[in-house]
Amino acid sequence: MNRYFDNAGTSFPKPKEVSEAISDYLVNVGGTYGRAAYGRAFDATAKVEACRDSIAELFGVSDSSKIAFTANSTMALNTIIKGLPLKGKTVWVTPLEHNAVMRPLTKLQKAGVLSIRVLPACADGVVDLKQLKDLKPDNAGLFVINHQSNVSGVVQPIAEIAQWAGDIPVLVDGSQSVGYRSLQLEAWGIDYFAFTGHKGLMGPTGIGGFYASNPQRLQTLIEGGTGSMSDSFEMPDEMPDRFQSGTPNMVGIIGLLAGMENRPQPSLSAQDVADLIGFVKSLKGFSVIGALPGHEHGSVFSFVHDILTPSQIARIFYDEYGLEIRSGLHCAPAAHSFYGTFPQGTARIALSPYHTTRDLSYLCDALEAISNRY
Amino acid sequence: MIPRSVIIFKNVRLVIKADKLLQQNGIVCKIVPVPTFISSECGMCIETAANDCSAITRLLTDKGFVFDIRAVD
Repeated sequence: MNRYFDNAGTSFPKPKEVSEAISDYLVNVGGTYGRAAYGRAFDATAKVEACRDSIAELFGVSDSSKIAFTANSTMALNTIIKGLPLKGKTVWVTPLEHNAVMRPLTKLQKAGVLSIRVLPACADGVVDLKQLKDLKPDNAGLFVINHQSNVSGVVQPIAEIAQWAGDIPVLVDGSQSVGYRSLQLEAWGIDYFAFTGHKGLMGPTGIGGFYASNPQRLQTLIEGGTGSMSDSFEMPDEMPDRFQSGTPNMVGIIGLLAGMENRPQPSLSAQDVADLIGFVKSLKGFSVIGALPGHEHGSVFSFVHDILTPSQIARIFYDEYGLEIRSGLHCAPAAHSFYGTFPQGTARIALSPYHTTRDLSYLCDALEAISNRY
Repeated sequence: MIPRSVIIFKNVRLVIKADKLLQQNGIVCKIVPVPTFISSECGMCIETAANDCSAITRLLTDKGFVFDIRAVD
């Protein structure tokens, strides 16, 4: 029985090949990236490049050198936001942005560097494409779009938004969507895409990165050794070295490659997820925060109860049923403010490709019992 | 002794890609440290027989690689 429903926090379980690959690297293989020419170093470097190529293919990107590895999505988002020439500009965001976007933007706003405005949205937080047509985003320097909300699971129409944005760069936070949704970043005209390795891609924590269609537009956030142009104090312009200072997280990248190569096919269908959400909505005392009919929805949603607080729900779930969920603000106070669930937050369900209908039945039984009790 | 040359790239990612391409085309090559007389780079380059250089140049150029070939003997 899989009682872990916090896959938006980090995915669990991982494919067994992830721990096997990490262990093999640590015990048998070793080596670092691009700093020497002996076989061990070459093999380790080749693994990193294989991972980069796999990510590019998954993203619909033809040039894998435009993929840079970072510690996580947060680092990727900070690198892009702080690397773009945004002084005096307005940055437009959706109402559902994670703090990994809102905190660096807010710091820059308070420093007088830029201003922040919110794109028009429907009641579920999806950007309203009809209203967008009439919007004149004067002085816009960047649009930041949370591809899939970590609170409600709603999916933004990033292809349409990028088309509307034209020459103004679009940064997509793909932390929740990557590994779950099909991506064609080049075809869609996405300028920047931040990702993490430990959620939908099934890798370990501590690895993420970004795609940049035009990396030369970005100033580097971190400078250091790259194993290239070593006779110079200047950072190389060439990708990926430009954004690869210091030793990369070899364990993380090798684990990520194994995760990507062994991602399971989901046991649940989109209908199973829709049925689950429909069931929760039908229960006395429960309200669901999710997509409106006709809008795309991921395998994440939140709910609240008329009487129980989110933390009480999480506690009952764990103490009485062994169900593991996250309650609270999910590092997304903007989203909760939009949904009217600030400051108490919500209880969140985030599914995994490993969940089965049996696991959902158990979850539903727990929800029904709570509904009957309170 | 067979005269040798090395093929130098801007970064190791290109070394990995080029090595794969050359091997797929049956060209014998070896990954070696960048010779100090060329650069004190930490990374790697591809060593090959000097008389394979024409074929290598055509192959790499066709695939859009930017590289430099230097004699080592």
